[in-house]
Amino acid sequence: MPKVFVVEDDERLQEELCKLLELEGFEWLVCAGFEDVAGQILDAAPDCVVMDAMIPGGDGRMICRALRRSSDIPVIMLTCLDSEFDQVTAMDLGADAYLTKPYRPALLMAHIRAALRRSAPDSRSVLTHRGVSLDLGSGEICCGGRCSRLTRNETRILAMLINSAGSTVTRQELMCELWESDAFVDDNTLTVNVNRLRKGLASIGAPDDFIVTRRGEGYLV
Amino acid sequence: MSARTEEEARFTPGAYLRDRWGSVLAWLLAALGIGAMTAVLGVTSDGSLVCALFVAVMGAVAMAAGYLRRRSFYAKLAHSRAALEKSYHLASVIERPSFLEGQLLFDACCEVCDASGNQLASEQERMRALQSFVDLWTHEIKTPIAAAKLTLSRMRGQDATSLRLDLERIEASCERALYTTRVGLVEGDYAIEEVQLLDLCREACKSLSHLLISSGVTPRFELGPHDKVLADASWIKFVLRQLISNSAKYGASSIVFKSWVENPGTPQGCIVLEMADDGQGIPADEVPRVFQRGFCGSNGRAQGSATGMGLYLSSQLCEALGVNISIASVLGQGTRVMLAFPCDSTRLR
Repeated sequence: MPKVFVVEDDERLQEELCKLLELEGFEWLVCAGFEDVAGQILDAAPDCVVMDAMIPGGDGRMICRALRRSSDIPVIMLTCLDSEFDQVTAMDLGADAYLTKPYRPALLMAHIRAALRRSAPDSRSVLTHRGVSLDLGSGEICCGGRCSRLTRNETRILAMLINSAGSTVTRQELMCELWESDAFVDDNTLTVNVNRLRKGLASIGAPDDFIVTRRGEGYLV
Repeated sequence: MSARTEEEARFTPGAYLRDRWGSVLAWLLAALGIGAMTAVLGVTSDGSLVCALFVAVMGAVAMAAGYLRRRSFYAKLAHSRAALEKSYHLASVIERPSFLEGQLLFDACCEVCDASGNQLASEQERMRALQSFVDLWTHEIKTPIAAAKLTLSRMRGQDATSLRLDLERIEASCERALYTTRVGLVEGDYAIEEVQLLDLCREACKSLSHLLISSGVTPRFELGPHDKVLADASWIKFVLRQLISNSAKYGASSIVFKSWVENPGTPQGCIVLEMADDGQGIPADEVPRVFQRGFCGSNGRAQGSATGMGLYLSSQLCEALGVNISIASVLGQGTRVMLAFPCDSTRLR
């Protein structure tokens, strides 16, 4: 499991960030106090660092510079200020990405995944639910030895349903997820995508009720 | 200010004489009187004429001396009034005159200038304090909004979906509060850089995805991947968000983003970004007024939630950036908003 190191001084934000990371399948670490943050990060050797640009007793950009002296671990900076100056200096100091609060969680996760892919390109993640496995990289679904390939949109829909297995996902949530990856689909396209996904699942012998429709609410696996 | 409604007074010899018609009349009567009296007392007609002329010349000399004494002061006053941008500095650029009426006026003018200068300084101080409070507040509110977004991202279902829409609206309101206090202040903190229009439009739509999806609006992007403009990314994104949420509010089901180059290679060359929606449109007589502060058209009044600030702020920000914003609409068919970014960076303010 990839390890993400979180440096955030707002307790609520830190707590929520860690919960989200856990849910998305990451291991998380937080710093113990804000003394020698760079040293703590190097000791923990995480796969990615998510850091607030303004932390007590220090400046995230200085920590970033200290880290860069001995490591090329991906760093994602978070900040409230959206002045261009901060962005430029953070990038100069070696941050991989820079997000302004209140960032969209999906965007943050996308940046973390992209940073991890850059540093460890061969990491493959596979989701499994009720005997169906989904390879997020290739979009391949397999069930009992039979395999089929999904399109990018279908893969994202199925991944979101499996990640929230047991709870109903609304159509709006699915659409937002697709929009986040630049597929600005409308309601009809979503229906078409879900129907194709169902056909794909049926073709490899997945159970008929693998995706349940909750009328007027959404879908559930 | 009310004096301005009458014809503006000018200090000319004719005006000076008209102003002192009593004295002029008195001198003339004196000249005539002396002439008549000396004639009655048996002086020759030539002698009477000389006496009358002597008195008349004395009168003219007195008038001319009075005029010349005042002229330099009034000339300086008129010149300073025309040259000064801020009239409350007037008292500090003119000198106290040597004649009585001038001194009375000058003292009153000094008092008015001091008072308005002080008032202005304290208003500016108050405005600065308010601005820094709003800056701090919008800065602080971002952290709990970010935390709430993270919490919501772990939740699924109808309730979470509608909470996300509300949060998106809260965020938009906070952003508007920030820009409302910023606009019109000394043009300051923007940073001109090269921005990719496609990325900017996509990002603006994503940041309003809940509003757009729940209102059934689908964006389409017909922009080249290489269309780049010189602008401040966060300001333009704010403008786009105002335009996009207007489209969503007023019945659009699609928004098409397009761009093209106008007058390439000339100093007027610009890249135009067009946002065309198929919403209810704006009545023709209201189109010229949509960028006015606080203007809510008949559409906005029918909705009840319009503040008349979105387009006003957008046009102000565009003006500060040197971007030309224009709007065209056909009632019942849709609205097009065009943003023209100058290609020549020297034309940016």
